[in-house]
Amino acid sequence: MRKKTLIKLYILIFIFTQLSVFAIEPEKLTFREIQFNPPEVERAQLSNGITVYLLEDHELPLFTMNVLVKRGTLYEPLQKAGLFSILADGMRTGGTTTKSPDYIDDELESMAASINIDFNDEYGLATLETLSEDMSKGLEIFADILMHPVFKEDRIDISRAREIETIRRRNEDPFDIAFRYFPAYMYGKNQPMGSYPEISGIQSISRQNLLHSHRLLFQPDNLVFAVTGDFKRNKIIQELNTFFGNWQNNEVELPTLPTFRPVQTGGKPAVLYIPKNMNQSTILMGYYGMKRTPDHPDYFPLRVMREILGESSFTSRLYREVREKRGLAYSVGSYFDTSHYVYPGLWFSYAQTRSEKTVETAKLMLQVMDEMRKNKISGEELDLAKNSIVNSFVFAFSSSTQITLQKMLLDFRGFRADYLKTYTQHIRSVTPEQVLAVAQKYLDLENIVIVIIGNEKYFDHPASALGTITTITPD
Amino acid sequence: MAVFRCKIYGQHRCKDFYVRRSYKILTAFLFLLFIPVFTYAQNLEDRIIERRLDNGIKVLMMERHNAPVVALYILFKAGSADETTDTIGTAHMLEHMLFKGTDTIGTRDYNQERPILEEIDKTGEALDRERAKGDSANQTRIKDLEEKLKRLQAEESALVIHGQYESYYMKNGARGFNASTAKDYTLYTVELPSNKIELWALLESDRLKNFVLREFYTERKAVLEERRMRVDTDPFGKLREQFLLAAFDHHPYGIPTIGFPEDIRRISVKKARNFFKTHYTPDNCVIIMVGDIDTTEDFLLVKKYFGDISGGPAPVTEITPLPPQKEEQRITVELDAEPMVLIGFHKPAVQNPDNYALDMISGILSSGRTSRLYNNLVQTGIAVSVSASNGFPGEKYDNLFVLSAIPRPPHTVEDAEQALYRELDRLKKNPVEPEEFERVLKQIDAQYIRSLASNSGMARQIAYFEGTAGSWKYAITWKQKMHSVTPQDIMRVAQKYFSKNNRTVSSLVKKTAD
Repeated sequence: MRKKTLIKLYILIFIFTQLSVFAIEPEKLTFREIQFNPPEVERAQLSNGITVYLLEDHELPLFTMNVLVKRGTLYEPLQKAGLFSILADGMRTGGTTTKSPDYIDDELESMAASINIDFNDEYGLATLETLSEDMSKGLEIFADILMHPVFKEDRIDISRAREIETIRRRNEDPFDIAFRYFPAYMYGKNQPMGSYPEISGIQSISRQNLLHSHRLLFQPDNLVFAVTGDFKRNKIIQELNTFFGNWQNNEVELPTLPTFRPVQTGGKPAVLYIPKNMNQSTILMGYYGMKRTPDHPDYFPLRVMREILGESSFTSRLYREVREKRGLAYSVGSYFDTSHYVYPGLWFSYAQTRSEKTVETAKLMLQVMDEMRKNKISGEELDLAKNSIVNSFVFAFSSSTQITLQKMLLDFRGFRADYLKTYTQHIRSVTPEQVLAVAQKYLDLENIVIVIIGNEKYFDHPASALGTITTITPD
Repeated sequence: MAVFRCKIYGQHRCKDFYVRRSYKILTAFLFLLFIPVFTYAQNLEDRIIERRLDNGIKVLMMERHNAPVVALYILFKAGSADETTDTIGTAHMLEHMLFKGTDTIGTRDYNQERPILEEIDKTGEALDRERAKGDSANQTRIKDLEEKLKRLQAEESALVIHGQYESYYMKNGARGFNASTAKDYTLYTVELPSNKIELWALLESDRLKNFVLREFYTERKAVLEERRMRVDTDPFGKLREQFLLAAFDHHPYGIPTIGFPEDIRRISVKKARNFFKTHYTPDNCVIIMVGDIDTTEDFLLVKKYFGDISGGPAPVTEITPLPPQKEEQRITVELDAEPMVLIGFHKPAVQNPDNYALDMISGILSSGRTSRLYNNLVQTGIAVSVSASNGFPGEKYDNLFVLSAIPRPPHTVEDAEQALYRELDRLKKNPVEPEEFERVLKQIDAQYIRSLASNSGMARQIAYFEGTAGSWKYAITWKQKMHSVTPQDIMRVAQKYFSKNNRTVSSLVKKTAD
């Protein structure tokens, strides 16, 4: 009897354990299919030809308008790098022909509305956000700022001061230093992709420069609108026509951009050593990546390779080898730029490690990248990367503002209409051979440029162990 | 909110890459610019469903169906303020360690791994103890222990499946998978497609029930790197650390959440486990789900996975309030960096009625280009950037109202400091105009509506109020009280707290070559 009970108990425990093992195996879970058709974005045109993307969304009483400016800081005069940043700030704060800066600030803030303008290398975005009840008032101010800014001197002075202060502080953060000297070396400091602002350049920016740049960038031909929020389609078109419909194009002459000339490292890695008295080194190493086109055949294999090399936060090879297995860094990973269409973008791997592990860590990073070009990735790694990209793809559609903005940018670049619809299909069809091929094509470790910011006195080995060294004193 | 954003910091950096001309100075202060956002009281009460499991875990749910995604946050009402002097840094270290898997995830064979882990713990502790002796330490013993530890770690590493826990999330499409440790609470976050909620329930409940603190000493090195990154190589990080140390003598709010290197080097597996056992109790746990959920079905799912978690009652951390400050404290931090100033005034915890007026003051002083500090310091050329923030570095206990400024040359930190005091004096002497109140209240309303547009934003807000004020419902009271703050309240509160004797001033001055 006792024995029987024991056996029973044993069986019970056995079953229980089995059950619990079953219960905690994530692989065994099944998931229902997600049924989701993102809302369709409509395309319309204003009376003066400006294209408008629009999507009604009545969930919340909000209104958002994004204006795409189809040119970016590549068009800044090289001696005045930072000009578009002052321009953006100056448009928002410098008043218009009919509205004073104070009036605009008061009006916007009493509506809890905001207007922001920002430029990257290849385009700019101006954004208006208001509660839907304040839409018309917000549009009126926004239109005025976009069309008739006057850049009042006392406000421009504040923008310049802030930019100068940013420059004065730019050697405080090691990544700020790295992100200045790496592109400057790759493209040349006197080239649009390699330039960065200087105090003298900022001081030389005049009101005339701003008016000229404004005319160059802000005219109907050069703009696309995207609106989302709690409005009625016909009403918004009518309002946009009221505020923007009479805006006409100016004659402008676009400067021509210089041709791209890659730097020659002569088949040996170049080391840019930037001394800074810190107990931790910042290492950034990379090379030219892709000059993107909408149908670039390397894009999808690269998308997968990036994930595996260092872009997936916790499961990438760089993370695993440098941080998880060895504790050599807290911040480690890679970034592969695929958002440049005029000049090739850059890619790089990065890590921050204690001084006495600098060269060891750099060598390990090189080794991880070399492995990427030597051997095909495993099926398991491929699946993980693909599933991660495919399953998180739905997040690209989590707000109507995002959906509309995305559509506008894809059309601007000239992507096919079914690009997003076929995106996950393309990812699924990537093969290990393709991943290997793009790794071999882009991870040019023979010519890699290695930026090291730190105190060489405490390095484990001289930085010259990594390649031909150039010492730079940051300005 | 001195939150340590863990793990994916590097990725945040990358996004900065092509924003080379960004306003770094302004963003450096964003952490100070917290304004609570809940307002539409009835509305929020209608939308958030609060339930409790039998074991005490609170479950807060909010449905939003515009996309098939969901934010899933788990909050523990325990943070670095709950540490004791011998466990500094443990809350944060534990947070890191809970990503290392469980007895079934992250291991090839736990039965083989377990005895090695026990040996590692013992060896690591012995090594820490010996090293702690400093000059009188036995170097041969240190060397032996180091070698032993290295050997054991290699043995263990062979049994570990690296990144397995994380990979379950990643391959199922997770976003924002991360965690952060603050003074008042610890938060575990993830966003998933809404058909994967069960996966989250399984993985999270599994780590709470069966976590394994593997590769502890390797991760401790990564945490030391994190400290070097956040403090040693960041002038603002250093200034902030010195500022808090000066303002909070003998108080956990003065201690850096990550700990000093000496603290980090003394955190053991045992301490981490004890912290878990004491503070990660069901009573202290809040589960927050915002997005495409079904409040009935998904509550049952939570119950199924989290219902059998047991644990004692939530501990009460007793922190002796600081004695009233008797005189102004000033510190100067000399660094190879450009000047800035932080000024903190002691004031009571979030639950104190004066807090509403202080929140209102922070809005009046520094929200937007029409605010007083912007008008009178930035527009006039005294400073390039300014901020005022109520509730730093935590809010559960008595904390600080903080002003900061970056002077615009040729103005000095002293000029900026005096200009800030002039603004405080105005608050003490003259009643605030009704339009200033209205503007702040309208901004609060708008921010609330905007926060509803993001699952993760809303989840984070709920977590913040749970973690600091004890309940998300504080938000409702807050909104009502904000509307009833009067000009007299502002004057009274300004007079009460913004006195010379009650302030700590810390200035960063540029180191001169020696």
